[in-house]
Amino acid sequence: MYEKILLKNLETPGCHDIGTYEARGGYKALATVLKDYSPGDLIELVKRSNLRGRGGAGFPTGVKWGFVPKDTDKPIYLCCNSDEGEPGTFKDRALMEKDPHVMIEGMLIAAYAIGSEISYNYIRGEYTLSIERVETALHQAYERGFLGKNILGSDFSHDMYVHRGAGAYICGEETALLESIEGRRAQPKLKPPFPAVAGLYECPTIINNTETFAYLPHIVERGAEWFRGIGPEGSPGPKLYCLSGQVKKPGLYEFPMGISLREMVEEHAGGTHSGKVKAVIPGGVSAPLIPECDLDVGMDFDSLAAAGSMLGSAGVIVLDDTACVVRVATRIMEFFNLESCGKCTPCREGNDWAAKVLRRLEAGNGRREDLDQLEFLCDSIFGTSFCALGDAAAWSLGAALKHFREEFERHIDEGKCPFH
Amino acid sequence: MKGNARFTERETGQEGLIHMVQLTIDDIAVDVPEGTLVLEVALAQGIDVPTFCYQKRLSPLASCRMCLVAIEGAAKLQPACVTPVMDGMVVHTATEQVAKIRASMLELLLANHPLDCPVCDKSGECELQDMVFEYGAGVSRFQDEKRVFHSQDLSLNQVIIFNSNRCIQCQRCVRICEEVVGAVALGTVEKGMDTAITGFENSLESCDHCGNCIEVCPVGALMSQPYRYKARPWDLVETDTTCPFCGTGCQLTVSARDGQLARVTSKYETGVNGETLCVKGRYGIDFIDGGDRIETPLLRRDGTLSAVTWEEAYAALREHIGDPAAVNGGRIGGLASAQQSCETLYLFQKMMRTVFGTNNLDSSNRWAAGIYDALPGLFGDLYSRRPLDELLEADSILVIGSSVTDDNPVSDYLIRATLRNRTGKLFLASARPSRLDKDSTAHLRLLPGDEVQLIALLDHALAGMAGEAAAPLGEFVQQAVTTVKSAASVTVLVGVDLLRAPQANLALQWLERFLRRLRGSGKQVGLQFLFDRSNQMGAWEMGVLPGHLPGWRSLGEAGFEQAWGKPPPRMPGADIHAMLERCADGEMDLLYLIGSDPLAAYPDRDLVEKALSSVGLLVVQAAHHSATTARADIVLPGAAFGEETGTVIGNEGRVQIIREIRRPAGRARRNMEILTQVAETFDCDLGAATPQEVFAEIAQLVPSFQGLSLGDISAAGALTASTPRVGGEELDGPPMPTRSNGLRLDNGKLMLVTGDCGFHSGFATEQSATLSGILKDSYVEIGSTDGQAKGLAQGDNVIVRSGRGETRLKLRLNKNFPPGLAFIPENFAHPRLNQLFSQGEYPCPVDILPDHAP
Amino acid sequence: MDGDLKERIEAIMGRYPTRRSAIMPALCLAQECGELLRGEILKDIADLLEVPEIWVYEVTSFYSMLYSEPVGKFHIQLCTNVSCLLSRSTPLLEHLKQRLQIGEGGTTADGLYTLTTVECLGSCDTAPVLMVNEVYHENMSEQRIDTLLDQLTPQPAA
Repeated sequence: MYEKILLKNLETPGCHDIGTYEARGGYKALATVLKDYSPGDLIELVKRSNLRGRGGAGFPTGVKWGFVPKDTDKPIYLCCNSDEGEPGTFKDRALMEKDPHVMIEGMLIAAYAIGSEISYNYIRGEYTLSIERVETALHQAYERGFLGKNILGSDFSHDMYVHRGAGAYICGEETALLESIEGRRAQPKLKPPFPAVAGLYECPTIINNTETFAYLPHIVERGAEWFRGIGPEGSPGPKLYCLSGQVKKPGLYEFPMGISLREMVEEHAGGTHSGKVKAVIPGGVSAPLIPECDLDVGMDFDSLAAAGSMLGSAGVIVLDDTACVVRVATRIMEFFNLESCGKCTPCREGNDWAAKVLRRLEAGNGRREDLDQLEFLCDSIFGTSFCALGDAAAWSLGAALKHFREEFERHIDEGKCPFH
Repeated sequence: MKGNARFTERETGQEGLIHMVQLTIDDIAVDVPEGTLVLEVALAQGIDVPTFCYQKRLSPLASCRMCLVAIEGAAKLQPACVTPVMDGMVVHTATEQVAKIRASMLELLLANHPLDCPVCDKSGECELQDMVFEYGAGVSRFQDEKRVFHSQDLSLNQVIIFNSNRCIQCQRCVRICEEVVGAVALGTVEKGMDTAITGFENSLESCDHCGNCIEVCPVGALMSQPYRYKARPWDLVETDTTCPFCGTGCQLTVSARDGQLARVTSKYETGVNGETLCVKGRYGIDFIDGGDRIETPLLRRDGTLSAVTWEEAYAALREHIGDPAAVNGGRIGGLASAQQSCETLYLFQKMMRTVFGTNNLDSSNRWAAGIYDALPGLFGDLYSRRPLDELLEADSILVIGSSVTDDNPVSDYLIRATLRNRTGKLFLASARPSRLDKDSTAHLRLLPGDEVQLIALLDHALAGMAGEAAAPLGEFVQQAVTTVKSAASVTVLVGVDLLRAPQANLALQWLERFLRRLRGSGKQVGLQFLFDRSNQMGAWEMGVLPGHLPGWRSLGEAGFEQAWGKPPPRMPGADIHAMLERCADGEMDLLYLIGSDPLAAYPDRDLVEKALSSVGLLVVQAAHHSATTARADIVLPGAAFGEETGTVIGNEGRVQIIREIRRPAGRARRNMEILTQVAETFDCDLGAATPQEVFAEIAQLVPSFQGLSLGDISAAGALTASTPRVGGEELDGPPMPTRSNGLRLDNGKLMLVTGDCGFHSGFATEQSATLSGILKDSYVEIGSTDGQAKGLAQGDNVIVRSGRGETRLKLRLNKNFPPGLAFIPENFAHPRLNQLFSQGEYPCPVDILPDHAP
Repeated sequence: MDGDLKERIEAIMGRYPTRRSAIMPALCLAQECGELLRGEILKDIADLLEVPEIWVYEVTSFYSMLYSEPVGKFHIQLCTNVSCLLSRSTPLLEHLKQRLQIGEGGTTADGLYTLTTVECLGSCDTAPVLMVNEVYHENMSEQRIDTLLDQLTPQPAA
């Protein structure tokens, strides 16, 4: 019913091989770009498409590229954020395992636009198959002349490398990713200066998500207006959604932006095991959960922001009415506690405090004052942390408390979990 | 020290114009230069904004979140320590929300911070305590289990002990270790709640032990082992004084409890060092309590030294000398240590000249002959009597002949911190590898003695003359001169290695020529020495010189006869080399030493042995026993550091005060008193006697001291003044230096150099229990490739043998040493290092052989 | 340091403009070559890259996939994040503990198995998921765990 754009290759076996990829029209967009577009034109194209970053922040990609200084004599770096650590998310892995070339082609298009001759694809260390497939794909691309010196006979040269992660969710934060590549502890950096001006090795750097790159060849081929015409104007285009949790048909889906969450869960994903949705986490665990009554929200950046949540990584995790929100909230806070880089006081100390209280509460040893403490913690961490990890921890807990306070109270009053 | 947000015209890119920004903070309208941080504006307005992780000289972190303030238009509170001002900005630092967040951050820190105050060293001076008192809620709601890293404090090395549970992760320690000290020994492991700072594999055994990490720690996480459990801050009596070790002249705060030395720290706002110290200054002051103090006067009778009264000692001196007017001043000599105060040194030379009628004076055992001819030319108008950090703002900095990292660690810190924040270029030429090598634009390994060739080549290149030199010397000269030519300002820092080697006099002449040529081409020129003694410059300015009166005045100069009531002797005197020779030839009747130990320090022990056994009378005035006092005929116990007030002149030409922290030990007397009494013994009146009086007399006679008075010298000291150029007109070109062969592997021999190691300063710190606890034994250090070629390994016992003597030591291999170089630290008495050297030869070639003796 | 490892590290250094950047890849390569990341190997890497030892130590300890303590021949890493939690990872953890007779974070006495829980592995649609060393095992159940362990555990010779 909805046209498959990225899913077309993802659902065709063998597309990770360059021969298959090319036979299906791959690398034509790159050739077009090198022949017909100046870097400036290309940036304008992407701006017109209003492609917004698919990693989680949703920043307009073309605008970000425009921040790279035009008159710099420093090398310009491009990075692909394939660290995909946001729980509930597996779209980038699918792309890297099954269609790595569309990502590579997209990266080359971006590199040409910003004037970058070198890029690093930061792939999380757990994704062994992805790393293998991408390394092979790079090798193939070099052999075919899509990488290296004077690509397709143009003046544009580019080298692309994989940088392996080694198990740290925080590396998905773009400045922490840069620190990790530089060989430092992966802690977020001060902004300003923004990476586009002073990023990797203090040089201008653009970081985009795997999926963001994947849409670029399609935008080049079919035009900015085509892309912009799909879904809401402010948040357009087709989008990969990862469905998981207590749904009958978990998996990777592709819909136009703005599709209602209810439609997604109840029609396409087959609804829940128990038959009743309790809540849905719409964009990875950093996104506050949406209770069933608000399920008609449109799955795009602006609608979800207006609903007090976010599209984030589009990791859609479904809870049915047998799920315990307190248990889920506890596990999420533990996750943020374990993955906190430890740099700033509120996230490092606050997440730990909250996790301890939640564990005790979840086990049935909570008191009413604990809820006040949790609210104090949410207030202290949100808006004061150095980066978005702290914000996410506070925000997601805050939503659980707001929408499902009575579940917390039942744990306290009954001295046990009412669902297990 | 200035921080990284110090903006000048150059950095805003507009010559002569600073763009100003207007903003409002807590309803106060202010006008500040663009680039100023909101925090700096607040502090300047006297508004208190709490901070943990922020420190002006360290890189910004913004991680503690204590300094969050409200800025109109910004949705979230902003960290003041990293937010630059903007035109029209409106800042509120005292809103309810800000107060709430400050209290919250503190409550979060207190959740896991152990309530150790009753047993924690930091209590009473703890920044967390202070902040909780000021901004905290007063109640802690956390009731779950605190995170505990360990239940026993971790001893990271002999001086640093660590309680990880108390750490609040401000990262000041890690940053100061990397950015200022340059050791990069501390780091951070794990993440999240497991984050902990530590050294490699939880040890700091091989770090500098400087303790700067302890000093900057806001809580009781990093603690000083020697100070642990000794006192509460309110028990301590603090005395601000000046470090007695190298010429950097750090300001120290010496704290004592009930008269016992408890610890040494420093204050952020004072001195060239601004709250940093090296391991020697921080931990070496206990040398005054260590070693063998001389507590009573001693007189040699029947071959042994026995205790006598002061009267007996003076009487014996009078008896030996008789009437000094009847003695030939040429047969009397005096040697003073460059660690003595200006006042002591001034009185000393006055006594030697007016009582004993001699100009045979010197203040160092270790420098080459002839340098006193060349030094006056440098000390008049050329020497920069200015703060070091100003000099380091130059476009290019040349450091020549200095092991600055070991000799002057805090100067090394300043150079490093400055280079981080500015674009100045450093060119460094030294014998041993320096930690500043990696901060330099170019560095060169240069044997002592070859500095003259380097400087002559620099001068030639600057003058546009071709100079021939093999790489790497030629390359280094090329790079340095290219930068210097386009620089508006050049600073040259000269170390003591240059003063040791025989060609030192020529090197200094070339140095003067080079500097005048730079000045002549319109550049702003800075010159300072990097002395490894606290008052070498003072000793020279006070006239402890064979050929000059105080203030580098010539011997015949008028004014002194009037001031002293007696004309000083006109015949130029002997320097230490000539004095020792004359002693050895039986031509000296009296040698009077203050604090000097030539038997251990002079680089030719044989000569000193002969000299001391042949001199008529050896009188030593000192605080500690030494090899030399063991040979003395009369020993007069003098005050040690901290037992007498006086001044010293550091490398910056800055006069600073050394204050008394206690009375002289035993029956020792203040050095100035002893000199006055010695004069009285010979019916002479030295006139000025107290530090104030002596200083006043100095100020009258020494041009660079003009206008200064002891009472006016603040904590920051007082800069002495530059004086008119001494010496004649344009120098005829000094003679070209003889080409040396540099480092060479000559029959497998290595070239031996000496100097301070990182843990000791001169000959004094061997008496320090703490520093000896860190490093007690000497060693010989050579390059790894040389070691391998000789089949030797790290830790092997070896014999180091020169043409003159030998010594047995443990071997250290250093992969950064250039081939052909050997180093033995100068700081240890036991190996009798100076047995290997002979007068007039430095460095000296040595063999290194395995020592199979048990 | 093994000559082959040294060569591989030197090759990867060429990808980056600074030597410090090669710390992380060097550690991964060393681990791949069977090194436990502590002591001499860290010093050797610091030496080769000419960086302070503490930088290598910091990076080693920061990342969960770099091991400075011994790990069993088969490192079983069970995801316990939300999607897997909702798909019964908790009983599966119990089952693993029971079968292996070790606690979470423990290693069997014969050194064959280490059991840890990990965060999201990025395969949420096939939850519950676990990783054995570097291989994903999806759609797990008690039976599939039993089958897996039977396959991994060396059987006594017939």
